[in-house]
Amino acid sequence: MTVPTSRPSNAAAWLLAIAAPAVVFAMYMALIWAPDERTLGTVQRIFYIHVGSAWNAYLAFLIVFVASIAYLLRRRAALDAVAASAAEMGILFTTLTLATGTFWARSVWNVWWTWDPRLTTTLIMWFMYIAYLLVRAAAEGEERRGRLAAVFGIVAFATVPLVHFSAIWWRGMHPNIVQLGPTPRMNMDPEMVVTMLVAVAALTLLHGALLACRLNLEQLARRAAALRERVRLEVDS
Amino acid sequence: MNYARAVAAIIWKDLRLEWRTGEAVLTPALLAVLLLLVIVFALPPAVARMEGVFTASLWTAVFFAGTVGLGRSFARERAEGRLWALLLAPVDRSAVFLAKGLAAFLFLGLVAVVTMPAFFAVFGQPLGAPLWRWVATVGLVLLAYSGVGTLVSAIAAQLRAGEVLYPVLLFPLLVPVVLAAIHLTDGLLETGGWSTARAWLQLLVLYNLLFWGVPYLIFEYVVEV
Repeated sequence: MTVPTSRPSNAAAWLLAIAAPAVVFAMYMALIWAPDERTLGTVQRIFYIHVGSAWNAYLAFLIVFVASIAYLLRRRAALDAVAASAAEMGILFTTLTLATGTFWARSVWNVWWTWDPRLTTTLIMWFMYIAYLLVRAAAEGEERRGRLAAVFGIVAFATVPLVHFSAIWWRGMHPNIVQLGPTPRMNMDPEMVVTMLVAVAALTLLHGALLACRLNLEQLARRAAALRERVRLEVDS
Repeated sequence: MNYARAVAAIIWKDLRLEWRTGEAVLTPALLAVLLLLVIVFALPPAVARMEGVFTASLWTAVFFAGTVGLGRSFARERAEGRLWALLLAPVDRSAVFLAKGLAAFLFLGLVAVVTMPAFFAVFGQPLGAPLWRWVATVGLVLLAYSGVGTLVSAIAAQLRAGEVLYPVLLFPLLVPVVLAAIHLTDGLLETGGWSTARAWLQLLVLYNLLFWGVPYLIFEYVVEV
């Protein structure tokens, strides 16, 4: 067994150095600079973190999907590491989305949880990727773990739209702030739009930084495992 | 050996195995009836007569009992290197998936035929729609269930403690099927047809295409030796 020699990249440090002030700046805009919402008041400010997290959750699961397909085709350990790390990021941001959503719902809808399509989809998605991590944890052998996880990652992502449609037809009440269609428009004050975009960008940077850190960790773990294996072989002989 | 003959041979093998062990039909059917009892014991009598309770009880029991048989689909190929033997067959790997999936569908169908009358009887629920509509609806639901169930079974069979993990891996993927089954059944009971639940029918067909189509494409990656 060869010990991987590649060192952790500096990308993580650089991304963190950019992401940290960006997040502080976005928090300033979201919590202080943006105007108060007329009917919802201060609690509406959760929205900026909420939307940023939700976007990053979907982005992370898209990365899992793409990395999984690429892994099955190319069989590079690095692609598997990307999928594994992105899945954890996705669960992190999904948890943030669900948490901020429930706080908001408690004060605006007066309930912690409703079975709205988007809430339902997000919750099911969360369970799917917990299952994805369970597949990874229960698979023995690097090759088998990568292969089975990739298959599950592809299938889970392909199922998300169907879960979403079924949830829409089931019941619905989530506010539609961003409306796509023939004339895309947003039902928001321009300053709020700017704040939202800054928050999304800052959290995406944070996402990138955390992903890079997680990938470094993965690389170190694999290197450590290989070194341990070599020591074991030398002691045995 | 051509494709169709390989598929038929594997289905035949599973049927014979089932005849001797009864683990994919008998055990789930018994469990479904037991679940029916548990549900009836748990529900206050007034609630049991409420609209929608029959549908919820029926599908909860069928979906849960189904995991016991479906999960065995590939788990039973683990012992004595049987999966390797299957994979050595000079035929496209997707034939293995197709055969195991169709066999699972047959078994689930038998479970439904045996247990569903008991649900109608215990709840005193009239059929409310022509029998062929029930057969088509339940068939489509079980086809979707066996497609996704077989794929997840193939994954779980290669995991440590896979049989314990199986339902946890399966149910998040199964949500659209559960919702469609509930709505289509309610539609049949209320209107005797699919007019109120046409979208669910389409969703179910789409789901079937996805879970019989995608494994068909990627199954060779699922069961590499």
